[in-house]
Amino acid sequence: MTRYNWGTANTSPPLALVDVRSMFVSVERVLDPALRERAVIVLSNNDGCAVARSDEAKALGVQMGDPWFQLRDKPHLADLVAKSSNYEEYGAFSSRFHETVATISATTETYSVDEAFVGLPRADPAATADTLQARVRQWTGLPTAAGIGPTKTLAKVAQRHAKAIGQPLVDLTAWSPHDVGDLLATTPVSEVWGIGPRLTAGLAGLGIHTAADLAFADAGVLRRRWSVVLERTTRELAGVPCMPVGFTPKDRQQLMYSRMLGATVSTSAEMRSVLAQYAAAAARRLRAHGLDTALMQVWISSSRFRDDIAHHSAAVAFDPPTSDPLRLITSARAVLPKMRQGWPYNRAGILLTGLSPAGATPQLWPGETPSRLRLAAALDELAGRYGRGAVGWGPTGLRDRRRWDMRRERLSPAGTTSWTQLLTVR
Amino acid sequence: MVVGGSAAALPGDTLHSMSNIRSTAARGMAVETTASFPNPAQDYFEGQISLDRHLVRRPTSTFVLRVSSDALASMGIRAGDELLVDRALSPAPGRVLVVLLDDERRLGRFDVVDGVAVLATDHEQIPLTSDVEPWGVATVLLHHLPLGPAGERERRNIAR
Repeated sequence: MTRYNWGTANTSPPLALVDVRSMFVSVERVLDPALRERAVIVLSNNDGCAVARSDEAKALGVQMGDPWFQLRDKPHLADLVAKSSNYEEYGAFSSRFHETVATISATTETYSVDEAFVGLPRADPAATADTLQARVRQWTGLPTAAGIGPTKTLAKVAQRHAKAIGQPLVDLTAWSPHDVGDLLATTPVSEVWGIGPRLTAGLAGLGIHTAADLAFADAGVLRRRWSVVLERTTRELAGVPCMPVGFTPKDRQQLMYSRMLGATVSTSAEMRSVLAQYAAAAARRLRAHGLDTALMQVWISSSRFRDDIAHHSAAVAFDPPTSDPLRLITSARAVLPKMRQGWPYNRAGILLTGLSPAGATPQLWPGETPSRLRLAAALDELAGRYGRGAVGWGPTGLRDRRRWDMRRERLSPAGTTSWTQLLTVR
Repeated sequence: MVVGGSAAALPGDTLHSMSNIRSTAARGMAVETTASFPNPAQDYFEGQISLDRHLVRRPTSTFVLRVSSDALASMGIRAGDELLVDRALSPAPGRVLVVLLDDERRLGRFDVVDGVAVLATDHEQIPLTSDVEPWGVATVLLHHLPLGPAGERERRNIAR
C-alpha cells in the first residue's frame, strides 16, 4: 500500500473549519442558562421533528428527524426539553459568530449558519484557533469544535474527529503523515465532505470504502467518471489545496450568493443597490429550485483599511418561509446600518437557509419589474411611517398571525432580537 | 470620502482626493460638488445621532439586558431599566457584572471585602467562587425617568 503523504502541505498555509456545536441547542442555552445541563432538542418548522440535539439528548437515544409526537409521551424522555425553531435568534447569533471569527483572521468564509473556514498563520496555527474559539465562547456564549488541516476537506475530517473524541480542536498539521493516513483509513468515505449516498455506492463498486482509499485513487479517473468536484475532494484528501478559503462549490441545503465586487463600494446607497441585486439573484435561484427560505443571512466585508477589516453580518427570519423577491431585497438592507461610511467594501454575500419546498404560501410574483421595485420602496416608506400593519402585499398584508403561519408553540423569547422580549437579569 | 473641500486638507492630499473623485465619478456614482462656496458644515455632518454608534463600542459582543429587580437601586439601577452588557470585557473590581448563579443571570458590583472578591448587591454579598460564572460587564445604564400623568397625556397626543 502507498504511504500516505502530505502533498504540498508544507507550502500552503493551514486553515481551520470552525463549527458551532449543536448551534440551535447552544443558542437556546445562552438564552436560558437553565437548559445547560439538560437534554434539549430543537424542533423543525411547525414543531415537527428533532433537527438539533444536545449531547444529553443523543445519549437518551433521540435521533435526528424523530417526530416530536412520538418522543413526547415516552417515559424515559420525560425530562427532555423540546424548543421550537427560533430562527430570529439563531440568525442573530450566527451573525455574532461570523463577526467574531472575522476579528481574528482576515481570511474567513461564511460556509453555513454555524460553520466558518478560517485562514491561519503558518506558525502555530493551533494557538490562533484556540484564541478564536475562546473569543467566540466569551463574546457569544457559543461552544465550538474546530479542525485544522492543509486543505478544506482535511480540515473537515479533523473537525469531525474533534467532535468524535469530544475535543474542541484537532490540528492535523501537527500530526505525522503516517497518523493522518491512519485516521483517513478509519474514516468511511461517506463521512468525507461532499460525498453523498449515491457517490458512496458508486465508489464502493471501485473498492473505495475509506477516505484513505479515496486519497490514493486516481483523481483523473474519478473526474472522467464523475466530476471535477470529486477530483478536487480526492486531491484535497491527499493534501493538495483545490478550494481556497472564500470559494466553495454549491450545496443544496443552503443557497449562497456571494461575489467579490468589481470595484470597492463605500457608500450605503451604492451597497444598497449591490445587495438588492444579490437578493434578487438569490430569490431567482430559490424559485428555480421551488424552495422557500426561513432565514436570510447577509454580510459585507472590506479589504484591509486603516489596519483593520470590517465585516458585518445581519440575519432576517421569515415566518412563514418565503421566496418573495421583494421581501428578500428589502431584508438584505438589514446589514446597511452597520456599514462604516467611507470604508472600501469589496465582498458581499447572501446565504439562505431553512429551505423548504415552496407552496405553503401563494406564489405572488411570477416576474419582477422595475415598477414593482418602486412600489416596494413606497410601501417601505408607508410602513416606516404608519407601522408594519398599515400596508402590505395582497394576502400577506394587514394581518396578525394566521392559521397558516408556522406553529411554534415551544418558542423561546426573542431575547436578543426584540426590544419587548429582552433577556433579563435579576 | 468627503468631496467639496476640506479646510484641513493638506496640499499633498489634493492629488489623492482628485484621483478618488475621478474614480468614483467614473463608476457612475453621484458625486456632490459645488462651484460656489463650500458649506463648512458638510465635512462634519454624519447624519442623526446614533445611540448605537456612540454607546455600543463592540456590537458583536454587546447584549441588551432588561433589569428585573432593584438589587442595585443604590446605584440608580431599577427594575425595568436596560443595561448594555459587553461580554468581551473581563470582571474587575468596581465593575457592575452580570453572572450566572444557579442557572440565572444575576446583577452585582464586583467588590473586594477583606481581601475576598464578592458580588455585592444592596442586600447581600455573594463570594465570587467557581460556582459563579461571569457572563458580561455592564457598560451603560438606560434608566427611564418618570414623566408623570402629564407625560402620559403628551405621549398619547404625539402618537396621534
